[in-house]
Amino acid sequence: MSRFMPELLAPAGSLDKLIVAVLYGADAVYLGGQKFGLRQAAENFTREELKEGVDFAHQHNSKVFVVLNSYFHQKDFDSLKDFLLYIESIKVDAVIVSDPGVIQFISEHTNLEIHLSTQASCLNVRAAKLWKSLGVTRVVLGREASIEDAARIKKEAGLEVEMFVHGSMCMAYSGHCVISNYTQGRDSNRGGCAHSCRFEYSLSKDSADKGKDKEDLEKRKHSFFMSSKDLEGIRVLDKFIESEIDSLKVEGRMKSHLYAGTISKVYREALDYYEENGHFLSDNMSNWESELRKITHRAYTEASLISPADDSSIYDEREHEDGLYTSIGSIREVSKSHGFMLLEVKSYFHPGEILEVLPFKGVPFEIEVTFVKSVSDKNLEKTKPGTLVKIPYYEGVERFNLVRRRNLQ
Amino acid sequence: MKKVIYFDKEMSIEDIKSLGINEVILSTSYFSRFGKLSKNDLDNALNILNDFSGIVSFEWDVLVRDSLFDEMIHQFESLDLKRVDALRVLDPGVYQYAIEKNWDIFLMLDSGPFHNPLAIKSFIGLGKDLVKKIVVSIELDQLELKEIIDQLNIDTEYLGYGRILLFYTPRNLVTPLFGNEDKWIEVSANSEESPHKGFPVVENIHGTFMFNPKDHFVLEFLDDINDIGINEIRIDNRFLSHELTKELLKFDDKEFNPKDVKSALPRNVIRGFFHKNKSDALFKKLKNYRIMRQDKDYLGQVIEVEKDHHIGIYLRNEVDANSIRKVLLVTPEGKEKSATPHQIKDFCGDDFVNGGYGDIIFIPHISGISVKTNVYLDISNT
Repeated sequence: MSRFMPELLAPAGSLDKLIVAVLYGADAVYLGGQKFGLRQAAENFTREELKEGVDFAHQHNSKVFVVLNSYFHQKDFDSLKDFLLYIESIKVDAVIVSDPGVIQFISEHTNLEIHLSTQASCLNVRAAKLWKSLGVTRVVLGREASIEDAARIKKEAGLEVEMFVHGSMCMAYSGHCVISNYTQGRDSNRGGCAHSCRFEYSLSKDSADKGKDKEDLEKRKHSFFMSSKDLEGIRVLDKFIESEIDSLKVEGRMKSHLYAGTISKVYREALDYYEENGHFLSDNMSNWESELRKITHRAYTEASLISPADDSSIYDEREHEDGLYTSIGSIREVSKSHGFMLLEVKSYFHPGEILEVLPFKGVPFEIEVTFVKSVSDKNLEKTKPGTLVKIPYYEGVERFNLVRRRNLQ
Repeated sequence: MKKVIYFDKEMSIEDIKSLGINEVILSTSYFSRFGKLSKNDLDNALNILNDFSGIVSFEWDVLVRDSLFDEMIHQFESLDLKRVDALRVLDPGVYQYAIEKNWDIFLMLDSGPFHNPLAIKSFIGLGKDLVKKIVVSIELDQLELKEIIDQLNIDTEYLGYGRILLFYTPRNLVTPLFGNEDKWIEVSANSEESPHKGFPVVENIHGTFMFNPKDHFVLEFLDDINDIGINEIRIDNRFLSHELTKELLKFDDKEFNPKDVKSALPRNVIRGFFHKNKSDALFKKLKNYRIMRQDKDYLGQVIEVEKDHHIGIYLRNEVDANSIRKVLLVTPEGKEKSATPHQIKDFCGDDFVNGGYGDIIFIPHISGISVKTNVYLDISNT
């Protein structure tokens, strides 16, 4: 039986991460060029990388969406036309935009499909209709919208809807936070967000007016009160599917290869399971949740997916690594005949350690690293990040598989 | 220069008339992000404003989740707004509603981040001739403002004095710390990780709002504002005493002394981005452009270096051994080196013949080359 299944849309902060996300099961990836996006500090894609990324994704039946979702000042338009014509020529599948001026510019100069970015905080049917009248075919809804809202918006506005299913969250309505602009001199709506919402603040009921703040340190309450927990939607995946949400988006272009691979793999497996069985009545759900806890994350919340996010969605803690698993690296070459695999090292490890390989499909499995050699075949006692090492060949391991280590608790 | 203020319960119709106010905004606790007028206050205000010959506008600037929209419309349509001339909107959905209802519209782009003429014109175009005024963003500097306003054939309003809203969330962030005694709670926040202190933070029925420690004040630049073509100045008096509001409203009086007024204001002030917005200037420092690949002769990136032995290159293009006669290496520090590899091996140690994307090849070690160095085919002298 064929049933409606949403698209799984993963972040691709670099070409390597695109490859990882696609190989681990993403139906589509979103990425940024060197300008026009909201992640100015990310590696992002050069033009040549964009073409390679699109070609690779299309060869694997995945789509590529390019973010152009900063809010433009006039000078930002200078090189936009040239870039648009280029990405249209390499057959990018859609662009993700916030600014109505950019939407109009794209419509005038290209036939690119336009998706409205979550940065525009589209939250209701009427707003969706308005954006549709500008030429938008899909809205990435604000994270404050529930799945029920999204279903109604899709039905009544008559366009595709995309929702975030996993990842970090802005505490503010997207596009409505300018803390960085005024405190760091960096425009958050043009990619300069300094994540001030993750800072610790001390709060007092004393007025901030001149001479009124008593600076009574005893009375001040210290808190990370503006920091949000991370979104996790795996438990309500059936509601996304039954509500026919068109695309499920994972946040995280700045995050690691292991994150891109793990999230893509887990949600791919969950969606495939539902497609085959029509339910999630299975032990697999706890396995998928367990996998999602192995990547670096803040505490999880379902935020506003079902009902408005409440106090429990605040992550009142300093950012820290929870350290369940460490990313060891990725397999770059495999040679059965020579009996070794070439691993690009992200974190150190020793010969004799047990590592875990994350296959593109199926259950992660352990390998024992009985030897570690340099490329020049010297035995190594310990690896260094940023190097290539030879480790023993294992059946079932493929190029670009990710390798991790369970940490001692 | 026309003057726009918020209705203040303490202000009489005589005050409003004598201070030359052109527009009074009704900012209610239900429809405005940080308005305080109750339904009764609104009715009283509308009675008072019956004798006012200027514009009366109604502010609906909360963002609206779909599940709340019908109830808000129900509440809105139950109000007696015959005296109201225009609706001030921020949410595109409320804008769409106003278009459907054929309201005159004051489109607020103050907190909406539209910062180019095309964006503003295309948004105005959706409302056709219903949009009577644009509230322009305080993040635009004066040159940008002039460029935009020159292209608009419509009234424009700019914030002369008021709080700068930095952050708006529907979540309740203050009551978890201070309890929930009132529908409106205001605290001050100090950053523990930057020098910024004294952010006013308000929580009310719409969520939580953080403001800049210093308020926006540009009333001493009236000539510049006139030159730009802005024709209305708004004084956001919602956090200001009645007396100070009256002082501020004399901004076009020859006797107006900005220095004296500023010293009397409850909080320090800034002119924000009015003279120059350079908030994109730091972007080029956020990453190392030298490690980006540049052109079609790109071969790949150095993925490993073993001193006195080899350099591993991660190929990003189809290539055969014959074409790699000479290479140009550009390090992350920007140093360039040319080299002629006398041997090229594949990852198994065999002579490299040809390969493509994702393959790794090894050439003899070259001093001064580090991981993330970009490697190009050097075809200059081959």
